[in-house]
Amino acid sequence: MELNISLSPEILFNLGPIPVTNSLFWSLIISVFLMLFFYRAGRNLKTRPSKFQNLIELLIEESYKFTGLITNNPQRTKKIFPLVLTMFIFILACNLFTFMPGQSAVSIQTEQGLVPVFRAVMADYSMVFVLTAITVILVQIITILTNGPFNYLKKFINLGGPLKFFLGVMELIGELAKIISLSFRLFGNIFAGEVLGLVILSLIPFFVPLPFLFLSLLTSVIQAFVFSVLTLVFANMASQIPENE
Amino acid sequence: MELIRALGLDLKILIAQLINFAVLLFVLHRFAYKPILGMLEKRRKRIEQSLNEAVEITKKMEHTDREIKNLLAKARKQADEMINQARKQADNQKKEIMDQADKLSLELKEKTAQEIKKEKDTIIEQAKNQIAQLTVELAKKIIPAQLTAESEKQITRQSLKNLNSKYNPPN
Repeated sequence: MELNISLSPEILFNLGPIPVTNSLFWSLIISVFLMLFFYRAGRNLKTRPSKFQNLIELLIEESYKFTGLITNNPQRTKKIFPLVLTMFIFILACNLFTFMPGQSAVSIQTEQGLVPVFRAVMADYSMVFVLTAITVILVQIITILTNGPFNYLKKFINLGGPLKFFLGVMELIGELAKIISLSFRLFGNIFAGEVLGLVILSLIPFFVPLPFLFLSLLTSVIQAFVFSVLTLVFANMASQIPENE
Repeated sequence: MELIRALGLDLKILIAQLINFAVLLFVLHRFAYKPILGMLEKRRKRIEQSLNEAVEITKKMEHTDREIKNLLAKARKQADEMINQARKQADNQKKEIMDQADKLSLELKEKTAQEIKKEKDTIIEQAKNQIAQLTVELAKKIIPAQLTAESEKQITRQSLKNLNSKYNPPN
């Protein structure tokens, strides 16, 4: 059996100028599903909740409380909460949907050959990159808003002395490293889980993949949590005015 | 560049993903987070209000309870008073009635005794008269001729006197 592992997603078809890759296709389906699900959840809210409403309320309330625990500020919580929770839900859904049995077997014939229709969304760097870009750009914006543009620039380019200049450069590198660490942690974990699953499945198809499946299930939840919480922490750190040294 | 190509990064796809995520964020925020958090806040407020109301109601109930107890005590006291008064009145009435009855019975007794005595007296008087008359008849038969009207009267008087002295009825 030939293992078809590619780092980049395969293109399913072209929708006008946009090449629709299998991961983009999958993420669109998941997004629509989540939208419908949460639209249904947010409708017909009752003071005496049904079991379903209770569950959704639990998720949102506890997330909100958790966010508040980290930001320690109700106003900041209110602003950052939707982004963080959406990231968590989206990443979690993307990761969990890969466990849907049978979907990895669906493939269609394209110009490039046989291409799987579904691909783990987070095993494609583009979606991870978009999420990371959102986080990093948001952090920069928050920093500028809290410290002012001048102080923001001063943080990276400081000509007050060789040591301070060096520290500024280090800050710049740290910011870049943040992008890479944040994105590749998620991408690497999920991609590795996919590849490992595929390899084990091709070697011994029965029972042996189960522990690995559990492991990647655990990774799915943890990585979704880690990514969203790191976003929260970075944004929170950026919104705090640094003490003058 | 090689890495970017290897990872399959395409600006168009990135933009598509960004839009996808933005729409998702918007929809979830607008249709789920906002109403649900609003709902939770509303419920929290309502629970707080209900708790406050419950405290108030308890207070009011305690107040009412006390009032009822006071009223009950007052009513009991009043009832006791009324019963006592009634008992006293009844006692008085009883005594009065008894007294009256006693008096009446005494009077009746006295009256009866008097009447009996009177009757007795009359009977005795009548008997005396009859006996005297009989004595005179008897004397006439024994001594028919010699008896004048004068002596007849005297004999009657005499026998009456005898009778009176012999038979003096007790009062």
